[in-house]
Amino acid sequence: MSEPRRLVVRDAGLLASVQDLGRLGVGALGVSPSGAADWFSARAANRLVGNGDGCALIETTMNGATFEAIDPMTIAVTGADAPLWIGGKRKHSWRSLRVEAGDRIAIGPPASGLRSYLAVGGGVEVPEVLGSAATDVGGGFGGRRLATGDSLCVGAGSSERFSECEFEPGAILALRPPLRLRAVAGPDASRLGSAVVDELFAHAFRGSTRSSRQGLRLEGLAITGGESDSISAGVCAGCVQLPGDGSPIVLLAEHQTTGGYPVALCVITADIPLAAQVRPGDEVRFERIDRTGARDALTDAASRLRAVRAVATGATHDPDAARLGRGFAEGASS
Amino acid sequence: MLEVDIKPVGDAALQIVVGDRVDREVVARVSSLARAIERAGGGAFSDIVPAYASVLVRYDPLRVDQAIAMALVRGAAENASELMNADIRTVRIGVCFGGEYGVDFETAAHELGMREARFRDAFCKPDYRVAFLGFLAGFPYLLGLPPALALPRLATPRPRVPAGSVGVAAFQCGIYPRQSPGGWRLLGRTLAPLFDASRSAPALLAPGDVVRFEPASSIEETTSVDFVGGAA
Repeated sequence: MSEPRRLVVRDAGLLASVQDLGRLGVGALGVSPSGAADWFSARAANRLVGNGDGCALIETTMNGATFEAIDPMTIAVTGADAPLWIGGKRKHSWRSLRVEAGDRIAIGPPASGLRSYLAVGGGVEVPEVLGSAATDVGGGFGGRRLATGDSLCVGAGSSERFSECEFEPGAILALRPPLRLRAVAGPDASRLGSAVVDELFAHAFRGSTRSSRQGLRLEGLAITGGESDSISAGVCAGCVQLPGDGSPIVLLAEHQTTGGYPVALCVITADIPLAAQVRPGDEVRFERIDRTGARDALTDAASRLRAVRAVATGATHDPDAARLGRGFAEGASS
Repeated sequence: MLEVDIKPVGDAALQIVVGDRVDREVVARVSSLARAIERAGGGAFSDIVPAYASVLVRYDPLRVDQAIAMALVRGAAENASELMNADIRTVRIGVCFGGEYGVDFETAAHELGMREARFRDAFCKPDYRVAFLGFLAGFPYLLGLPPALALPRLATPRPRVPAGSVGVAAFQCGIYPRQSPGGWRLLGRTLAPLFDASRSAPALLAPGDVVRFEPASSIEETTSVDFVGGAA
């Protein structure tokens, strides 16, 4: 193989980092799973370029980011509803695209949603740390937090066999607020009491500017009944903590492994991608769902991920279709 | 055989509670259960996270049914022994107390009505036991702080606690592996390398380890760590 192909960061925006589906099996060391905050969009982007779901890709935040392809490659951008330009021409996201040497890939500020995912055929190459390419932004290890001027190697991909793919419109995330996060009662719900839980389901919250990859902070209602001195226990993405000040926190990918705040609700796995896309000021509501509903929602998300189709122009058969349609469990679960 | 209370945490995790208090006996039950789940899990669990009085397990809900995950955990609890691990490792960690290294040390001694030297000796006297690692990568939650030294956490957390800070909050004691926000009272500092993701064993300490703090007269003296006993 000749020199690896390269992608250069021209503007990293607010926060751009290399992510995959997270660092699993090291929670006992106090190490956060980290990984893509929106697992649905990350998997979708990888599938569009023919990668496995767990391939390393780039997550951008809020105001977009700009990259330059030094060599030809296949890319796809998913996630937030953000404008995309390749070599100055407006392009569709949620679709695989061919970029030529020297093309600029510009992801603009999203109309809705917060995080975009840029996958490249062959994946972004960074050394694995504790079994993952995910950047632990807070911990300062693993993956790579991107800075303007950084140059990234792209893995050997199937660029010669490129065929343009896209998602069916119904398959992509609907991110217009108000966003409804479906949730079940959390492990501390009975201790907090049904009045507190009912209040969480009844009210409209707003995304706070204090949110991060660690957690979506919500404001708009101070709920009394939250205590801060419970015995610290393990937590996971989707846990809705209720600290003493009564402003809920929905834990996201880079959550701490344990926490002492009571967990009132748990956002279901299928809706963690929506929680990861809430912008400061967006209206957010929790919607009650049962266990069967949670399962159906995840099965539906998995089938939407399989709804990749070849773009109509002459592509009668896509040799990658079988691979793209592989199961949800191919990578790590979110 | 362990008595456990299994609670779903959303659709992709379970919390297994083994006690409603924090002491060495409950912590020993937690590590015994975590080991038993690891043996019995058969790859069903993507992560096993022990804490003070509970274990959290994560699974892929499209691959593993909740009922099956619960049955696996119940089976593990039945086979878990209550025996403590006999192979205990002692780790000696040097600490530079007070001044710039422990900004709350003097006020804490004052609040407790103790002379600084007596406070330091009382703090260093007990064997501390690592209950679990959490909060930050490699952050040990230590049991064994004498009740007479208990101090409430700060009302307002500091935005930056320096790496290596040894802190206390209520009955808890811990060491910050890296700079982070934090609300614990800071008594001293160590240069002991608590976490390094590039090492084959990234965390210096493991649940069950005994930690002994030893006063150091300069921060340079706190770099090296002394291990006694244990398999490692």
